[in-house]
Amino acid sequence: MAVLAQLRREHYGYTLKKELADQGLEIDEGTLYPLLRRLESQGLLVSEWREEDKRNKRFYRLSPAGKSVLKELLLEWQSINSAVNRIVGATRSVA
Amino acid sequence: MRCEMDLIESYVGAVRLFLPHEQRDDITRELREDLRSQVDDKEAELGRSLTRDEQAALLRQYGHPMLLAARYRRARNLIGPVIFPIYSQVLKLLLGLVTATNLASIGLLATRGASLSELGAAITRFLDNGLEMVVFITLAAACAEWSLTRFKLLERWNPSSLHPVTRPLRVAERAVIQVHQTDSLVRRALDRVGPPVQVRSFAELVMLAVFACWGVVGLKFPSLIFASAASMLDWAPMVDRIFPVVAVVVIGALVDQYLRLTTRGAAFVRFMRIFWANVGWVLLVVSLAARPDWVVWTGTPEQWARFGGLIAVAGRTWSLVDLVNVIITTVLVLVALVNLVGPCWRLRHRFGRRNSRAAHA
Repeated sequence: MAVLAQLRREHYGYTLKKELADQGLEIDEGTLYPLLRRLESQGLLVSEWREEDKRNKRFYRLSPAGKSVLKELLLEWQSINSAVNRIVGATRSVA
Repeated sequence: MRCEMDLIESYVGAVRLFLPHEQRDDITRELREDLRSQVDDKEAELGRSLTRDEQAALLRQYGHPMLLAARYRRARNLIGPVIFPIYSQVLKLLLGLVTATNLASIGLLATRGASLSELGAAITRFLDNGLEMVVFITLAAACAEWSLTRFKLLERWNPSSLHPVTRPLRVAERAVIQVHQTDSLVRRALDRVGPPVQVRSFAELVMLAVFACWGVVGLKFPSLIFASAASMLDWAPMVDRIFPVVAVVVIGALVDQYLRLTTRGAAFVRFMRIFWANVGWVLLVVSLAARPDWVVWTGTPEQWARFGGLIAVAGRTWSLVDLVNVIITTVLVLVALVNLVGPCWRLRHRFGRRNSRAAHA
């Protein structure tokens, strides 16, 4: 979900990893690159090879299908998050 | 710098080896570009080239080439976590059986003064049997895994097809209760006619199928059943003649079990009831047919002198072949009797309960 959200803006693998890490989510490369491929094969991402700084890079961004899936995932995430918060809050007040 | 780039090239090359063929070029190109971007970034930050150790540390984050390549592939299992427990259970059980029969036959050879080469041959056959068994069971499990995934059998289950939990020894009791719940005794009793043991899960069905296949294949390949004694014993021509019937019956019985488990194919299950209702008689007639020869002697005169000769059992002397034939006939007659007596026992109980209810009234 974090990867999908970050790819609302176009990135290539290395900058995506750096940005996620800057915001506190470390994903190692061995996980991130295969994940990008899987998301792309599911039609949630689109990618293209382009030259930047005299180097060919594969840029990924969210596809229209990815956008709607991300929206649903965010809703689901918020509901899980608030449920867990309620449970943890209730436990804390008992403790 | 040159040697550092070589380390990256070696890594990319190693990953490439294990990648899916159609994506190889694309993935390695992206991997190489990203590794180089990282190296450039770090070098710009440090103001010098990376050492070989620093390069290695960077590559370590990506993981072993095989591991990284595996993450690009879809997970595929020859035998997955669902089938594995049954697979290992069946494997242990059948390997135990093969070991027991082979050790018994090697023991028999040893006590009868077999030569070292004969014992060696028996041990080799034992290992062959074990290996064949492992291959056979692994293939069966892989087929089961494939069909579960391919036909999504576990996703398509129906909770109402679950059977009530009963203690294994009370299966007959359950049948009696079911007979009691009906008005038409005879019709209901016939409705209940089915296989003597009914499987209650796919796991049991797979185990039953493996056993059944072993038995049927064993009728064509005696070494599967007789182990090292297969050099002296073979199935009689009668077994060859009835083999197609046995094979069809076993397949029919397995299909029946599958349909009962999935509560489908009512017409076939009704047809099989006729078979189950009469199998006892057929078995009794076949097993008692004029002096049934199941097994014949094919060994050499030397083997006859050593193993085929007379064995004293229950105060009588038997030849090995006669003894095996009598054991097979006895087992078949017992199975037939259980099959014939079972329904009668259910009816007796039905009347017993009715009488006691009448007495109470």
